[in-house]
Amino acid sequence: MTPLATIRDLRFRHRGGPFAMSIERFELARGETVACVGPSGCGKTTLLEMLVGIRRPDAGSIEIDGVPLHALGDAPLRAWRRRRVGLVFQDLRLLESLSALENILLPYHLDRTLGDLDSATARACELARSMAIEAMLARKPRRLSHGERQRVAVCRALVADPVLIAADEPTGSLDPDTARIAVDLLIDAARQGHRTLFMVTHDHSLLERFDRVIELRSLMSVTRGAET
Amino acid sequence: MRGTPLLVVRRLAHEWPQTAILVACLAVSVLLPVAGRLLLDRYAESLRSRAAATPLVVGSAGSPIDLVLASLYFQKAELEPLPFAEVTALDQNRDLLAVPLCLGFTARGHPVVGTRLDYFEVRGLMAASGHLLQRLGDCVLGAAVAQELGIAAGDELFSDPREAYDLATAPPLKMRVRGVLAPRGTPDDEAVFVEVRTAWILSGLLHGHADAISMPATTIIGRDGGEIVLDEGIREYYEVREDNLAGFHLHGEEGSMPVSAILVFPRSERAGTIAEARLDEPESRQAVRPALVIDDLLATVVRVKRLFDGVVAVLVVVTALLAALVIALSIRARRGEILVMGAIGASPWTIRRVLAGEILAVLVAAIVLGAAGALVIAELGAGLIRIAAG
Repeated sequence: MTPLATIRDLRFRHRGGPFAMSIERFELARGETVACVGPSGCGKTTLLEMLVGIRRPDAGSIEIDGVPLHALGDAPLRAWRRRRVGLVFQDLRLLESLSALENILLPYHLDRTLGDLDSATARACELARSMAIEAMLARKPRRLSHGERQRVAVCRALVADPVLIAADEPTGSLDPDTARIAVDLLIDAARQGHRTLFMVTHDHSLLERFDRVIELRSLMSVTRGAET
Repeated sequence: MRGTPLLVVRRLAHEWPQTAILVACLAVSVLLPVAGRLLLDRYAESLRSRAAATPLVVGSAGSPIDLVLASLYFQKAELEPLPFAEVTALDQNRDLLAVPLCLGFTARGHPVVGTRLDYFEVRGLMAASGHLLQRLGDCVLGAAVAQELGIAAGDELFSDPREAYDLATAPPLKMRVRGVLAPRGTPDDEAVFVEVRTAWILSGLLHGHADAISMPATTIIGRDGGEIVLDEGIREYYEVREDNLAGFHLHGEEGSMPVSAILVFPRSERAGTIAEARLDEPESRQAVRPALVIDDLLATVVRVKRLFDGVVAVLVVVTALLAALVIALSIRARRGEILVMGAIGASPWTIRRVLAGEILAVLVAAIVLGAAGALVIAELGAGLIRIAAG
């Protein structure tokens, strides 16, 4: 498969802390679903944040879909993230003041240059229909079940038609059945759109559903504290 | 709605109780100084316009402020009376117009002003219904009095007893309402106007009763030369009618009858200057220019207002600091929301714009509400000002 993301000679150290990581080479193929596992504090979330441009590496390169993230300035990096990345957070982080539809369209409300809101609304409704939450679009998040909120969060990640879906432990607070449904939702969304899914998880029971599972410690050399 | 406005409106609506409290607190800190300023301006304007329209007031020596407030705004004040002879003397001067005022009486709580027809002319007062004063016992109502009491031309109005428990004082007089004045937005709207001689009836100096000669012999308890002494069975008239009008008479010389103040309208500036100098003597009398007295009074009011402004300024600063604290805590409590917007790709500028939009919306709402409230208070206060000024 054609690589969507390529990381080379990445070096990162938390400022003021002992944590440091380095990755010689890591690739994500286009349309691939990848689960990233490892013990707490090993740097899974840090790697995800560097992949989507929230954090910058100290050295090395990250290239996604031909775009060298490490070379982009802050504003272009944010603009790229808005257009090419869909994020799903562990606690979903829906805005309680907005309806489900407005939450899905949040990227468009934050950036008018992202595209026409009417077209985006049509796409959001289509996504909501495909995830069976069409009837809940006018509701506020507090009036939705956790599963419905999960689907709203996935719709928000997909609405701008990203090439990469990055999910940071989206099943962390779910029971096993709901977690399985949530992961299937993400994997289906990724596969239907030929998107790459990179998901950080602690839940080993879900790993068989992914195309590839990476154990972060085997991928890179991570040093912390006295081990440095 | 879309974009930042949508995020701002949804956020404020989502936490509407907090938003409402914040807006209300800020609105009050806008309302207080604005309403204070508007009320003071209107109060000053109301006082000044009346004072400017009255060149000179003559009264007995005493407080010039009491004299001006009583004679222009009909406020209660104990004024030492001048003899009516002063009016007669001023009437001899063709360069002046003297308008006597007899004050200190009320009718159903409203000040009764004894004067003569010249008063209506110099104040530009016209009858909106009925007529102006025609004879003894007539009264003309200010527009607000008529509205408040529900009385119209042709009705009757009793004066208030001066001393409810003193039987020796003149009884209340049943007055004939001849007309109602057109509203002017001045203290005249709040007053009941009668002739000077009618005011003397109210004070008991002029009264009417049946002719002693025609009284039954049982009521005559003695004769002293040409005078007849009657017992207490004789009743004073409590109203003036066409058939008893001739029975009203003064006990004493007209020139010695009291007036509270005399409004003097010089026909030229020179005449005014001469009159002011001449009327300010002897020491038992004073002639004051109301405009100067009101300026002095307002200077005192402005000094008090400055103290009030200082208190309000402290209140505004404290409210602003508390509002800033509330906003800072609110932003801190929404850190997760702000992080998610940043992670999705919102620029710090965009996030600041959303937060600033919320603060701006609260401030604009508070200013609009506060200013609107101040205007409403100023409008409602206009009536209070009229009462205070009258």
